[in-house]
Amino acid sequence: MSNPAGLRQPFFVPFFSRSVNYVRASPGIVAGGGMLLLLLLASFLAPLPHDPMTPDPTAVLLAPSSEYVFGTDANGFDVFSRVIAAGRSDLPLALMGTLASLVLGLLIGLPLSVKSKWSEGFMRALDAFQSFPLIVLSVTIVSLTGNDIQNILYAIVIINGPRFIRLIRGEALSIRDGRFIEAAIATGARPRRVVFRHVMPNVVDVCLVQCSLTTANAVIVIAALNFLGIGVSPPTPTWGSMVQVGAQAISTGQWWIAIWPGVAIFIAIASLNMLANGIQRQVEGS
Amino acid sequence: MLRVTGLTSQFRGRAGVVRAIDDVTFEVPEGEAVGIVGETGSGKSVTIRSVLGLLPSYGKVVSGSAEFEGTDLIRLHRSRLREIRGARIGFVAQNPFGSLNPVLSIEKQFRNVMRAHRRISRSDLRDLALERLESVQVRGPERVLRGYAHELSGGMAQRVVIALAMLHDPSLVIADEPTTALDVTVQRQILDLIDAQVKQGRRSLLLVTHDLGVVAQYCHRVVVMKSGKVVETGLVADVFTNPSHDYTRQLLAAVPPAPWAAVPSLSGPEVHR
Amino acid sequence: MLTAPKERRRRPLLRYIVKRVAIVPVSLFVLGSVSFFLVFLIPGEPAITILGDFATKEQIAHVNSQLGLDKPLLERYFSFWGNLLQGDLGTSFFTNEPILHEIGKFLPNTLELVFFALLLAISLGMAIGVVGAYFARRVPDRIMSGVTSVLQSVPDFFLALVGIYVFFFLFGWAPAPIGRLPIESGSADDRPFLIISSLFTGDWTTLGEAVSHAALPVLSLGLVYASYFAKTARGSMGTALTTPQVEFARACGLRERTVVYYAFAASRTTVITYIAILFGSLLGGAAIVERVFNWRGMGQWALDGVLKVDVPIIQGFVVTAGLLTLTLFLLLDLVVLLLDPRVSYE
Repeated sequence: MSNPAGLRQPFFVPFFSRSVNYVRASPGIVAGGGMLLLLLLASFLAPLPHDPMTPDPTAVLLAPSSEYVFGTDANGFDVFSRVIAAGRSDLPLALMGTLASLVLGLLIGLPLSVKSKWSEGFMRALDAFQSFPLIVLSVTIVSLTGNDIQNILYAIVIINGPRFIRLIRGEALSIRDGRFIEAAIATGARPRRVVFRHVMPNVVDVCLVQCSLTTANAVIVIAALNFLGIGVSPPTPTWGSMVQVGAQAISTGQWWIAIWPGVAIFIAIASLNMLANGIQRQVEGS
Repeated sequence: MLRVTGLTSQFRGRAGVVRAIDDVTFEVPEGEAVGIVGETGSGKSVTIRSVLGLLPSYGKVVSGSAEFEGTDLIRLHRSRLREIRGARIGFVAQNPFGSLNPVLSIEKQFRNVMRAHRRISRSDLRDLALERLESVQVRGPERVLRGYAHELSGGMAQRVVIALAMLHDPSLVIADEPTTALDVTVQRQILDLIDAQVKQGRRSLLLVTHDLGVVAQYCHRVVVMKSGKVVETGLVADVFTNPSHDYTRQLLAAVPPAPWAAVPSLSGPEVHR
Repeated sequence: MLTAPKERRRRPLLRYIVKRVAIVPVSLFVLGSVSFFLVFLIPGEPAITILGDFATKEQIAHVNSQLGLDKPLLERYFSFWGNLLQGDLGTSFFTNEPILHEIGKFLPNTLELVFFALLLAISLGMAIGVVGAYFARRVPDRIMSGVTSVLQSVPDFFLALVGIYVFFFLFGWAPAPIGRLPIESGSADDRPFLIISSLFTGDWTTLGEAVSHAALPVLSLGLVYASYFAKTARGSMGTALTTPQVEFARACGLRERTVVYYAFAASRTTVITYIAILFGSLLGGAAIVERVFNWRGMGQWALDGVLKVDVPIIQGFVVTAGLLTLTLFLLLDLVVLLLDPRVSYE
């Protein structure tokens, strides 16, 4: 009984065969993951027909053609090259923000899963914090701390960190109440060991879902902040700032400047949501 | 009264199609009480839900019929079936707190059930509801009517459910393990109450249970089910004294010596080996 | 057999409400302190960050005295509270307008936008969710969840731009995104709650203009947020529709309409609580959409203030937005209390 089998199994089943099972069972994972992979590969490997950082002043506001597949913007930038290049900064930034939120969630959420008045109070405070217009708060903090692209990470963590804390605490609490933890403690395992050896692996599945939802949200947050001109250092392209540039031309009919980066955002978010749904279904099914 | 023939139902799941009940055939004659027994997952509940058209959206009756007073319920249009449910077939479910709506007053629930089948004035309905609550021995019916489900004890709530089921004087009552969720002390009261209501109104009863003692005491006939199939059916006295199927014998052998009369009298030498 | 007679229930209810209301001052205290300490996030010397590198000494001194940076911390903190409690939120660095006056000017516009967007989001989202839950795992459910996923994947400001292109540029159905009224009608700044007030005064021309200008912003916010409601409603209705309670309702022969209502009644508290949770992010989303449509609401005002590091505006917005959310939370909590006889008053 020192190793309750039902608990340790998810940890020791090799991740590879587990992922194979995941993929086989859910079309959402295949489609979402595939689209995401494609987007990442395109961002980093696709050849750029034009330099995304140098405008061509002779080619301004050109509609999509064989020379400029997605057209050009008011400064003469090639929209296609910039949409591709923007993925290189936007996607890794979103993933980093998610990772940071996850780490924060683990660091705060797991200790909070010890039931006490203090942890209850903390959760109440978190409730209040989350009910605030967090996007505005993060805009405030990012613009007050300086207009760096790294500061966008703060914004992502501010918005998504609390969700991770809540999720991880909740999961850990519900697993703790389970019999097997009692059994583990009864056989003399120390509480800390119980948390890290037994609670953690079970949290992993649920965290995967939240991670892909958070990455989706991070893509939106980054785009929204960049759209507002925060965290942008021209001429480096980002999807949000490209939409912003296009917004000025859309009333006069130059749709391609704003629509293509917008479509890129949409594909990124949609594939991440599909991935999350797929994993969620997988977790529920098993 | 109710004749179920070759009823087969399937569920669509992630792992594919699962056949929950297979070729179920039995009959509930006019004025008689029939018990369906079997262990959990044997298809008792699925059978009655198939008959009443209450399968979840991923379940489906694939073949068979359920003739009730000459109409096949399985092939009946949804809206016609609705008119039969609650009016001519009353249903008593397992958990009274699960059955009653937690956020509507009891009176409102009486009104809804009444309006589903008949137009009646508010004061008439009140009088009828009070009368019915009294007939199922609810104490302080006025106050119960005004209140909500969570204010009631389990036994009282199940009485309210029975009163709702009997509101339209159904000719058939289907009870799905009506006492499983209740305290042992009130289980017999509730069964006696259902029995009395059925006998008074000359109704038929289809009682789903896993308790053979209950069947022995309250039912004329028994249907024994195992993994979705009917393994044995017949008069209670015949089946219990001379079971023809191994599974029935095992079930009977598993009955603990009951404190009340019915079972010991039935246990022949081959039952209690 | 009644376990809780009515007479005994009344007092705990009152105590619950009092307790619930008593939390408000505490939250307000936290809120005010947060907005006060936000200034400390500015790295280096705030005055230079705010005014830029070419500021004169006098300008810096002026900003410093406005921020109170020339006084000790504790004194500033107390005077901040003193002013706040009197409703004095200071004046903007750039326009010199009192913040309270500015909020009075811009808040109604935002409230109008958010109100209609929320209305659309709730009704559409509930409808999508209920249809999906009712036809669980069947074709309508798949369609509805597809619609939900698509809406959830579009940033609201992008949807707004697509709307402008399609409905303004291509079809010409919607007016240009230049505010709440056409330019010919003059400034709309002094005319709060255009839609509602013109509806009551019977000013049909203004109503038509206001509605047509509000249509796109409300749609782009409402559609995106409808997807969140749809997801919640699909979940809670899906659970409610498989409960024994709904099965018993069907077994009693209740009409499907009534059955769906039963399930709705059981799941409405979840949805109502969700309104409060979404309101905050809707306020944030409105800020960006307001900018796209030059709506001149509080969100746009606050964003402009944020980008210019206009500290009093930021503080004013934090306090107001916090107050709004707190009030909504309180109101909805009380609504839930009235709707659900079971809520325990602990």
